[in-house]
Formats: sequence, structure tokens, C-alpha cells
Amino acid sequence: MSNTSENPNPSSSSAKMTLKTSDNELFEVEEAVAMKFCTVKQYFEDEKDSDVAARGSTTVIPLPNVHSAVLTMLISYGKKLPQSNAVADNHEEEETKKKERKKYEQGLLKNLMPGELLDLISAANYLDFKEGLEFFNQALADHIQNKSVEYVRKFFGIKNDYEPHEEEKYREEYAWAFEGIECWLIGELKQFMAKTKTLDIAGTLLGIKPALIVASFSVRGLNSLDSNILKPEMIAPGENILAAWINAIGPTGLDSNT
Amino acid sequence: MEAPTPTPTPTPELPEDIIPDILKRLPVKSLVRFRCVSKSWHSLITSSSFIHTHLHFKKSRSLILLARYCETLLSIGPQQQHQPDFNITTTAVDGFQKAVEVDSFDLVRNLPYYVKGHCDGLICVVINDGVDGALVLWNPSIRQYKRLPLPRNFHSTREVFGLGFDSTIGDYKVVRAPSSYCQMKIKDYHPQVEVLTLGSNTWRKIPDEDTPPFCIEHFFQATNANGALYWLVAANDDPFHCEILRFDLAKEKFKVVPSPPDTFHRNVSWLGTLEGSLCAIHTQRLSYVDVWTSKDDETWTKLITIPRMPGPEASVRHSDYVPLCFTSSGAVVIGIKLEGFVTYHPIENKVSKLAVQNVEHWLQETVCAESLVSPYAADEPAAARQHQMRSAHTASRSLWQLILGLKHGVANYFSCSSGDPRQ
Repeated sequence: MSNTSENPNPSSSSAKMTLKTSDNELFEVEEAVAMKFCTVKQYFEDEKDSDVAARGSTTVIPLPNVHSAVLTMLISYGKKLPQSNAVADNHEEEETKKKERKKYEQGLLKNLMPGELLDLISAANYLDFKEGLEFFNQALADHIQNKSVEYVRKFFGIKNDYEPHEEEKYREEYAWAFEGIECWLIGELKQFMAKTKTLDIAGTLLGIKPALIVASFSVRGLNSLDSNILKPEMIAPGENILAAWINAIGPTGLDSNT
Repeated sequence: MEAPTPTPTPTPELPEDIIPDILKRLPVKSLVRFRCVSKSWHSLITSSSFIHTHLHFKKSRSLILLARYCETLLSIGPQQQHQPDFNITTTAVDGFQKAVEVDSFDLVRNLPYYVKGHCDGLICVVINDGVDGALVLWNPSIRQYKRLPLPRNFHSTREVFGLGFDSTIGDYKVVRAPSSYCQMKIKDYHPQVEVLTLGSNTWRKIPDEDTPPFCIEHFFQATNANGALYWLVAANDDPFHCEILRFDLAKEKFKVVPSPPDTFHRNVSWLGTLEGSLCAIHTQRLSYVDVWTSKDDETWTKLITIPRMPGPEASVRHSDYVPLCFTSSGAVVIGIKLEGFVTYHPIENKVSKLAVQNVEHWLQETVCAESLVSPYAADEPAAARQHQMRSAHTASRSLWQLILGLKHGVANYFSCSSGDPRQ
């Protein structure tokens, strides 16, 4: 389809290319957008030179390092970029377009999980998608800007090779740089809570032996708000569950705690 | 098609060259903190190539520093409002709303000082400590300073200095120029020009024939642009006429640069930099302000004209307008001494007041970049680390010594006198 048109500047946006992802999904992409992925552009140009172009059959460009979910996002971002063959607008139109793009970008980032960002950056780098890389790199920089050292280590999977006393000395010396940053735990909690969860009703499980015995002190009977529900509404195994404690002093005061 | 589910892959290995590209976008505070992440990140962030990339990254942040008389330095910086996750919303003027004190070392508290010049995030400050005075190279973003050795016959705050980067040798130079105050008031004052290269850490006089026949007012800051230092000087034949004096850092020669043309023959009232280019303004009381810029000292192009704004909002102090920097929306932040700040947007032709907390008055304004450049850049890494720690921990002791007026020799102990002389 696309390799029949030898036109280097596709004025007709109907020219399309097919990209195949690592999970064998096929994507039909407008040539103008696909050309922003310089790796694809290079492949296409190499194809043009060879005899394959003369064949006139559709070429599917394989992208073994890119997953379909990631490519979807990169393509939709690529579509929103100003096209290289667009007519220059006056200041007003430019401003409105800029605002629209900013809104779109913010929307895109809102629904993004930080882990996905790393995938996007890897893929954009592989595809040599300069505008995308710039945008996602900036987004990642903004994301980690106020985070703690622990968060960054965990996020990038970096092993801490500092000795504890070295690290402490550094933190003391540059205490001002460690002020006012988001605590690692809070960051994790926020991320955890941002994920949507659904509860599915598994149904009634029969034939479990031995049957669970509810502790004598747990409440039984009807739910005060809805008598169709019997208490306990939710149970978990275990009695005398303790909170976490430090190794130095156990909860029982004994030498060993099992 | 249903919405794509996020890929449950383990953290992918990012290619090596992506990490610097991400880190160069971060502010200095974050980078100093992230030096602690791992040893490889530490060597990356302290490498001179990364510091250079970070400094010259196009979106790098400018700090407005306000020097006050006998009070600490104030910094107005682009403190981004942090929002959870990805919702970074920058406020209307990039966070230029609050001034914070910058002086963890009590370097200048209660002491008269002047900022004489700045370059790449380093500022050159002269402090009058009541004894011999001090000449300090300071990077307020990373909170490091280094005392420089004093030249002979040092008259502290009445001296004229400039700071710039000489790309031919890859090092910073501090230049001492003739001061008009000293010329008038000090007996036996010989105007001479001396240069200190950070690597050599010694003062070196330039040949007498290269010394310019001008003297500079001590309260003028040197402007560093186009590989040279610039000052405004009074013309010898007509004291009411200003000229622009240029000192080439590489060649170490002086030259007078033609001022931008003006139909009303107004004087250049201010010289500085905007976005890295040399910038001069023409203005007069109650008149409009023309801002010119030049990249090569020969041709001047008019950058903006700030018109006279009618009405009670208008400031009559047009002669004190100092353009500072651009905001992300394209407006220019202007400081007006004794009044405050305004922003002017050239395309929308709008002047709006910019309220900055904690600022009442100031003596000098300096716009410098936020950078990781260390004043110890020329020193051996080990010695530099030692001095860093000394700077941090002996700060309060330093001040105490200043107040007690200990001898110059003892003050020298805390100044950096090591560092191999450059070949």
C-alpha cells in the first residue's frame, strides 16, 4: 500500500503503513504519523531502495520491541503533534492549538501509571520518536522531581551501593536537599490507591474441610442495617494478630518470638 | 476494542543515554539529592559534561537574586508547585511569587556586600567584614562558596570585579578592573587590571598598555556575554555620556563597543543579559523603554519596546526599569527599584503587577542560572570534597571569626589555597 507511492512528501494523508508489534498485533498508521518514528522511516527508506518496493505488495514493518498497548499510546500522541506539512497559522490559531495540545497532554498523563512511562520511553527510544521521547522524558522528570531517593531507586531498579554510614554522612551534609520531599511510603500509597480495584463475587464455596471455625468472640447474628446479611460479613483467618515490631524488642519480651 | 491493559512487564532496563536526558531536566535541589541514589548516579551528576548539559538545557531555570544592604541574599526562583503524580500545574508566572533567603552560611548577614558579577550560576561577591574584606565565589543553588585570595591593595566593596568563562582554556576568570571610587578617594591608587584564573588561583596583572583609560563605578555589576565582560562607563570627554566597555576574556583586551542608536540620544541606562544575549536599555524619566540586544557587539536589534502606560498604575520610574528574564508565556519580568516587579507581554501589550512575597527593597538584582557548577571546579576532587565539608560545617565559625576581626592569615586557613596551578 504505502510502498507503491514513491512520494517523499505525502501530501495525501490517506497513505498508510502497517506496523506489527511484539505481541503480533497489526496497526495501520497514516504515513505522516509513522514517519515521526525515525526507525520506521529508516526502514521504509531502506525498503524503497531495494527491489521490494517494485513488488507493490504491502510491507509489514516489524517492531519486535514494542508492545501493542505502548504503540497505541505513541501513535495517538503522534497524531496530535503538528504535522510537518501543515499551513502556518497566525498567532491566535497557534495559541488555541497549543492550548488544545496541552489539555490533551495533561489528560494523557493523568491516566498514566509511572511504570507505563518507562515502557513508553523505552519504546520511543527504540522507534527514535524524538517528540514523543522529549515529552515522556519531561513527564518522567516532572514525576520524580520531588520524590525521595528510595523511590527513585525502586522506580529505576537501581541497587544502592553506598555503605550506610556513607549515605548518612551525605544526607547530613546536604540536609537542605532532602527537605520537603514526598515520603516514599506516601508515594507508594498514592500509587496503590490510584489503581482501581473491583470485587468479584466468587460465589459460595462448598465442601471445604475442615470447616472454618469462627472465633468465639466474633459477632454473629443479623446485620443491623440489612437483616438479609448475616454477621460476620467479612472474615480472615488468625487470632492474636500483632502489628509489626522491630527486631530489637519483641512483643512478648521473650528472647525468641515465633 | 477495549482499553489496553497495562503491560505487566518487570521494570525495563532504560538505555544508558536516557538517564542523563531525564536528569538534565531536574532542578538543582533534586539532583543534589539524587547524587545519593547510587555511586554511578553520583559520578554521572558530578561529571563536568553533565553539569554542562544541565546548565545549557534550554529550559533551564533562572533565579533572580536580590542583594540587600547588610541583609541576606534573596532568591526568587521558579519553585514549581508540586502536584501529585503528573498534574504539574505551573502558576501564571512560573512560581516567581516568593522570595527566600539564601544564605545558610551567614556569609553576608549584617555585613555590607555587593554582587560584582556572575557566570553560569556562580556569583562573585565582595564582602566588607570590617577587616580586610573578602572576595567570594558562590553558587547559591548548591550552597557552596569558595573564598578567593585577595589581590594586593584590596579596597573591598569599592573595587570592581567581573566573572566570566574563558572557553579557550575551559576555566573561569575573575577580573579586577579600575574603580572610579578608588581613583577619586584613595591616595596613590594606580588603576590596573588583574586577572585570576580559577585553576591557578593567583592574581596576574595585564600589560599596562592594555589597561583602559576608564574607571568603573563600583556598584555596577559586570555583564558576562559573548565571551567577554561588559561595563557601563562614563565617557572621558563627556561625563554625562555613557559608553560600553568590553573586556575580551580570551584575549584579555579592552574595547569600546558602540551603543545602540537612539533617535533621542538617550543614554544607555542599564546593561545586562536576557536569555544569554547582551542587552542594553534606553530610557528616560517618563519616556518609553527600548530594550536592545546584540550577539556580536556590532549590530543591535531592538527586542522590545515597553510603552508608557497611562493611568495611575503607570510607574514614573521608567528610568529604573531593569528587564530580568522571560517567563514561559513570553512575558518579560521587570524589576523596578523601590517599587516591585511587573511583567510585560510584548504581543499582548500588557503590563501587570507581579507580587512577590518577602521582598520590600533591594540594592542589586542579578539573574543567574540555577546550576551545579561548583566554585571548586578547578580543584582536585579530593581537595574539593574536603573543602565542601569545611564550608558546610565551619560556616558559623567563619562568621564568628569575621565578627571578632581575626587576622587575615587565619581567614586564609578557611579559604581554598590548594589547587594545582594550571599549566
